[in-house]
Amino acid sequence: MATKFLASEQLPALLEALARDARLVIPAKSDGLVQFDIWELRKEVELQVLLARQSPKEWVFPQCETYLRFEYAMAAPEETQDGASGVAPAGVAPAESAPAQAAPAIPHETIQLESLNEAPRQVIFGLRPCDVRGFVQMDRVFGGYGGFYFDPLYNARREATTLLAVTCREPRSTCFCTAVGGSPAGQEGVDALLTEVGGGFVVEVLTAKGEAALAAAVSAGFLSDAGEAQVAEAVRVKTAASAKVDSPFTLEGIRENLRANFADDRWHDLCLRCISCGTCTYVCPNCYCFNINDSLVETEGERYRTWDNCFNPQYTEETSGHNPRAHKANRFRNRFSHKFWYYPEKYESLLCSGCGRCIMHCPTRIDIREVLRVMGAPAAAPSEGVAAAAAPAAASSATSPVADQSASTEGKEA
Amino acid sequence: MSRQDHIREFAAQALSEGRVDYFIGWKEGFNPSEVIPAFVKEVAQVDQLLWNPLCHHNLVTFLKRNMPDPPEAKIGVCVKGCDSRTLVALLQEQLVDRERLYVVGVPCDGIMDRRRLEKEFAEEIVDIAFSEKGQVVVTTRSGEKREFDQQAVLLDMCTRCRYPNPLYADDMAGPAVPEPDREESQPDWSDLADYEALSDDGKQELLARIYATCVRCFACINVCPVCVCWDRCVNRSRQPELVSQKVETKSNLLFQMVHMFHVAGRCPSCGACDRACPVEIPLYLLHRKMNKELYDMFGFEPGTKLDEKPVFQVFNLADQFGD
Amino acid sequence: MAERPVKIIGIVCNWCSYAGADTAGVGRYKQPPNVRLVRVPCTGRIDPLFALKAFEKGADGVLISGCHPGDCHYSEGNYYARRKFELAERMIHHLGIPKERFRWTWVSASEGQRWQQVVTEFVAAVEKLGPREGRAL
Repeated sequence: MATKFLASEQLPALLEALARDARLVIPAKSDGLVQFDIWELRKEVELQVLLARQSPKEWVFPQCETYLRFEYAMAAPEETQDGASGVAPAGVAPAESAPAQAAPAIPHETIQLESLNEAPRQVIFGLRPCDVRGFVQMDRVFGGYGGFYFDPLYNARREATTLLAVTCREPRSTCFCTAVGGSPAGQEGVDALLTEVGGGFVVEVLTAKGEAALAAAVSAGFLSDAGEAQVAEAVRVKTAASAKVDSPFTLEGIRENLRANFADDRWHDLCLRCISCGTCTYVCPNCYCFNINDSLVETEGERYRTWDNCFNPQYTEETSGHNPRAHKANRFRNRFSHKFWYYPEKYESLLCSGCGRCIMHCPTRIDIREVLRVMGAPAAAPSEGVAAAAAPAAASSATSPVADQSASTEGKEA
Repeated sequence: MSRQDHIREFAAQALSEGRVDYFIGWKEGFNPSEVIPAFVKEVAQVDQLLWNPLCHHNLVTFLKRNMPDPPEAKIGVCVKGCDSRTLVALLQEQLVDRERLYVVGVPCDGIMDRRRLEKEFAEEIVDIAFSEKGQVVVTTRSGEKREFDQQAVLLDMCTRCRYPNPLYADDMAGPAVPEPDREESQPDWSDLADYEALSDDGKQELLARIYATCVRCFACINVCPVCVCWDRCVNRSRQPELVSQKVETKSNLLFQMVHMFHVAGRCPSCGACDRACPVEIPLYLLHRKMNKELYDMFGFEPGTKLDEKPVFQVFNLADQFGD
Repeated sequence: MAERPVKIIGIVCNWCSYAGADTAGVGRYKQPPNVRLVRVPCTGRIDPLFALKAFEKGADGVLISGCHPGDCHYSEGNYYARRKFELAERMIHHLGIPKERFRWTWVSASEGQRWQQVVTEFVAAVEKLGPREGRAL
């Protein structure tokens, strides 16, 4: 598709045009903190500070969404006898369940359901290629990949969302997108990619969605065709940016190694400074675990889902009170194993796009790169850890709290 | 001998004599501008340990219930003045076992407000160095260097510190630093003045804005050294659901108030929660105020006397509260 | 639309204030109907969270009452409680909830008249401020 050019001074006009037909979400600075927020006139888009504090995932997968309201009511006996009134007890088909003449006239409970699914048309502008890959990886989970569950809430919003990403000119030292198959100018899932060059941005329109979102700006003349020199500069910028991203670990054999290291004691050493909070998962563009709650006040209630995270001690707690991941080392291991072993096994992709937010914002700076360097590599010498992994059942002795769980309990993420 | 050398020496001794299973101090993080908690298990590793004004973590957090690994581990730990108060608070209520602890006190000249420094630059900070003359030299990824006066970039709470010297320690890493005459001076609560000057509606508006950003990651309570039931928290309970799991301003603020009340009398405002919050919610507005009121009510400063009981575990017939 | 009547949650101990409210009823002391009572064994059982939760759920005022100091059925519950309530009151005000919306006091089982007076005064004070809507907590 077309490659356009946007002069820097036209950026506000472009944003205004984008906001005309859709909700426009941009990274903006407020109290010194860069966060994605809804664009308003005179709110400046922050493209200098690399990576908003949180990923933009909440705009497609909100942290908390009510998707069902319900109300209980008592139906009077006359109504059921009447039959024509059509109010039937929830889940019961009266015509088949009992002979009509024998139906006793008893009051019964009815429930009214109202499902909610807001999916406004929106454009997320100024997110980064790694943020976009977060959506791509989440799409597999919620989008019915491999015949698994298709989530109508997520998909309606995803469908209505256009992603206009910006190339990272100056990646941070914590960035490692190239190590997990991405790039500071990655195009996977991106509807249009903007690359900053002298005097403006080269805009590569990559999908029909991107084209549609930018159509108004093109016809209004904010976007012109990009010149050859500009395109060439964009290529140089991208190459230079890629060269600035470190490759801190190798993916080679990582799944097998994580499996082999499942019961390794080094998980305990690595997680000593972990405080078992959920910061890493809540700033992550890929983590998608959620929890469902019902709240009921008298006869009216709602069902909502909220983000959950595998560091929450209650995450795997069973109704009996037993918790297969009672120790923080169990939970710690899960995050990395899920991203690089369980998820890839099921969805044939990694669950990490290398943005490095979890490293930057962890209160104790737990470093996913370090964890994968250690646990994603084969255990050096035949140690107890390897022996234990070879016979996981035997390793489930009481000595190591990490070993008291089998891989079958990992179903929750899948 | 520098404080850092003292720490390394104490750690090496304790490890080699088998008095501790591991020693908790601070070490460099993924670059020299970051300091992270260090867990040293062998004498050969003690050279990782460092001490500088970036050592903000309160390591007492790693002593509280369900944090030590293995649970019965004998632990050596470094504490600053404020950290020692949280340790004393835990000891007052026998929430940690004194017999299994070896405590190295580190007199403290104040800790950097790294977040404030971060905001001075659009780029990433990769190095923070300290000169002899009390200057801080900050270097960014592209090589830009800027100097700051160390006193000017301290954490706000450090500029009001009344207890820079540890109140409880088995060994001290060097001589004490000068501290205010606590008999003569009152705590300085002026950091609350701006907030307190607001009208009721102004306060509610500000709180609504602040707490809308909370993501309920629970970093604040997990990192809190005196929040001992962190993994069995009323805030997470769904049956009964005392605090709604809904992430919305009201329940976010309620959640913080619960934390604040539950650590009242134990929390010395070490500020660990403020620094851990990934969205930078100014939690000090609650816990500093709580401590201000406790001081006003009882002249009480949490975690200062080992043989004292926290104010809410005792009562006095002569208390003059209520009508 | 006329303003809705204010809703007030009263948290009272079983032994004194609940009985005091009962005495007021038996004695037919007229009092405003805005208070919903929650009975607890002792004021010592009241967590400040109860009051905050009531505000969060939309209460316009919270009234806490128990046995006079010295009269606690469990000897000392209210001695602990009054320390907590004092802090709770100050912190609730710190949140920008006006002082008039939170009150704690002591009413004994025989003080029906005092209960009437406390409730009447408190409801009048809250009514003056009106219902709370759209607040942070």
